[in-house]
Amino acid sequence: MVDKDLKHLLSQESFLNYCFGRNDNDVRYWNKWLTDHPEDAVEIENIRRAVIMMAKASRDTLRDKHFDELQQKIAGQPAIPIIKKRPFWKQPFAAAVLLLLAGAALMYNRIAKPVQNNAMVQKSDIKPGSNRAVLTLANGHKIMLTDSADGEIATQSGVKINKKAQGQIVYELPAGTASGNSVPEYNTIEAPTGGQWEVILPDKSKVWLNARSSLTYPTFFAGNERKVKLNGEAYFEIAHNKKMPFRVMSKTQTVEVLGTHFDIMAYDDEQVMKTTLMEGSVKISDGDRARILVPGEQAQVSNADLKVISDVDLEDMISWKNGYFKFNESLESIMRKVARWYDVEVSYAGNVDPSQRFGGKISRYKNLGSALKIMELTGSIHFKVEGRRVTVMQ
Amino acid sequence: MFSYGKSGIALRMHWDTFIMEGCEDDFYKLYCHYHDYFIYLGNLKGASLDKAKDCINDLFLYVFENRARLQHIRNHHNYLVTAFIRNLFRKPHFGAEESLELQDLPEMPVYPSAEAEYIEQTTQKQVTEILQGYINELSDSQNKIVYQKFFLGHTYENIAQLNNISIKTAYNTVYNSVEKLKKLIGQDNANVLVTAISLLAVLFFIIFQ
Repeated sequence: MVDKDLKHLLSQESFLNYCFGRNDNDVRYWNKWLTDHPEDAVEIENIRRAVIMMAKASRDTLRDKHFDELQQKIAGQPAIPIIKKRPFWKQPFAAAVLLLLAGAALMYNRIAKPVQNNAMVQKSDIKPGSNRAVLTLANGHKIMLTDSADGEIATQSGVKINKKAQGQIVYELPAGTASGNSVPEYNTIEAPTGGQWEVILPDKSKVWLNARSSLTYPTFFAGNERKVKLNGEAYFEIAHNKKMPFRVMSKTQTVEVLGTHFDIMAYDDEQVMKTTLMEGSVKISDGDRARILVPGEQAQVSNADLKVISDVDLEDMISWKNGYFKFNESLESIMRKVARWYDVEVSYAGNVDPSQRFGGKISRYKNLGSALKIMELTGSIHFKVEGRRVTVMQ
Repeated sequence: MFSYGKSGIALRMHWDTFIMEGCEDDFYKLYCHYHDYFIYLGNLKGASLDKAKDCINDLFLYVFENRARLQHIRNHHNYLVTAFIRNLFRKPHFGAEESLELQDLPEMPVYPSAEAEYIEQTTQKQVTEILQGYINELSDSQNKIVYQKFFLGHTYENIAQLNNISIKTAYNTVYNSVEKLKKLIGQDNANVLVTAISLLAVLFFIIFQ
């Protein structure tokens, strides 16, 4: 009966005053009315609860939206130093949480195995990235590289391009090429979204390309420098050659080395370019600014400045090369890595804070579903996967 | 019950910590507190929700960027309310008679926050999530009207004027929103939602009668 009168009820300020306790007279009136109509008590109480919860939910939604707008305004202005709370991983309890996460991941690995046998789950689950790349020769010819088909794939300027069983690309110089008259040609190797590749350059330097990254380099190095161009992320193990410094150009930055191991991350969708040094020494320059790094240091180059961080976890930086994600960073940053490797698009539900930090370690060879499940074990986020779209929810 | 309105003394500590240390958590708490009150005040002065929101965000952006300059502020509440109303009327300064008027600004109507918390705590998480999901489904303008009616306690006449709609539309929007939610609750008797809500309602009734 009350149901039919919902419209009538909501039009009465006195009923809403009763719901929110805004007017004593109205509260008394409705309490009396309920005593006289006990059969409607549950129904009325349901409406009252619904109204109170809707009030709160509508406020929360709107306030969050407005605060997001404010944060965007703040981010768009020149930065004013603000003291943030200690980052998550520096909190005293962080070690415990990380340990718990690692333990949970381990446990999940054991529990999850039988689930993976389920054909339905496997069918809908997105597979991880794999070893694949596209080699573009100087004449524009493109060669798809996968784990299959080994042997000689092309010859350019007398340089043989071979693909080895492990998937590496090796450049073989005929004797005396470098001192000869021939001119090097430029090749580009690109690991697409969901791909990675290992290249051995003509000078025997090794380069591991991460997903959505490309490297342009000559078929042989001539002159007084070894110059390559990187877009995205790669790990370099550069063969020592004092006479010919090795230079990596990425966006506005140049990294110069004689022979060393280092990682450069310079994706277009990351605001900061990071160069992390494992061994040896490198010089970073960006416009007028330049710094020399010692092992264990990381240079961070952004539009605003070039700064050097000294306590970097080296294992974090090259975890991708070793087959796992090891993160200690914002959710946004983690999800960008996930997007590059699993070839998915990521979006966030309105109530999720993409800047919240997480730490943990997950194999890169798990299907997307399993990897996300492990992240869900933290209890603070959930994921919805539809096709190649991942929505992060609270 | 809410401590909105005139003094905001409970927030003194957050203001001081933010001004001295720039702690973002305290900044957020201040924002949460004044967001509703200022929208309410703005609405009473005839400003639309969006205009009030713009003035709030301009004010808080200024506070965020100039905290070093605000260390001399003794009464953060008066400062914020005055600055907000100046923003609203785009006046660089206030006349003496207008400052006096500050004393007469109304309190916000009561919203039973303690009870809402109680309801949320005693309602299954799943149910709360479904409700939040439902609210998220409302359009922006529907959500604004629900907020103005239920949370801020404006009259339908006010809401119609503020949103440039007829009283009937204001009132139908509220009715349709609740009706839709009620349908969602009553759709299926085996539904966890209806079981949980109804059961709790009965218990609630027995306890509070």
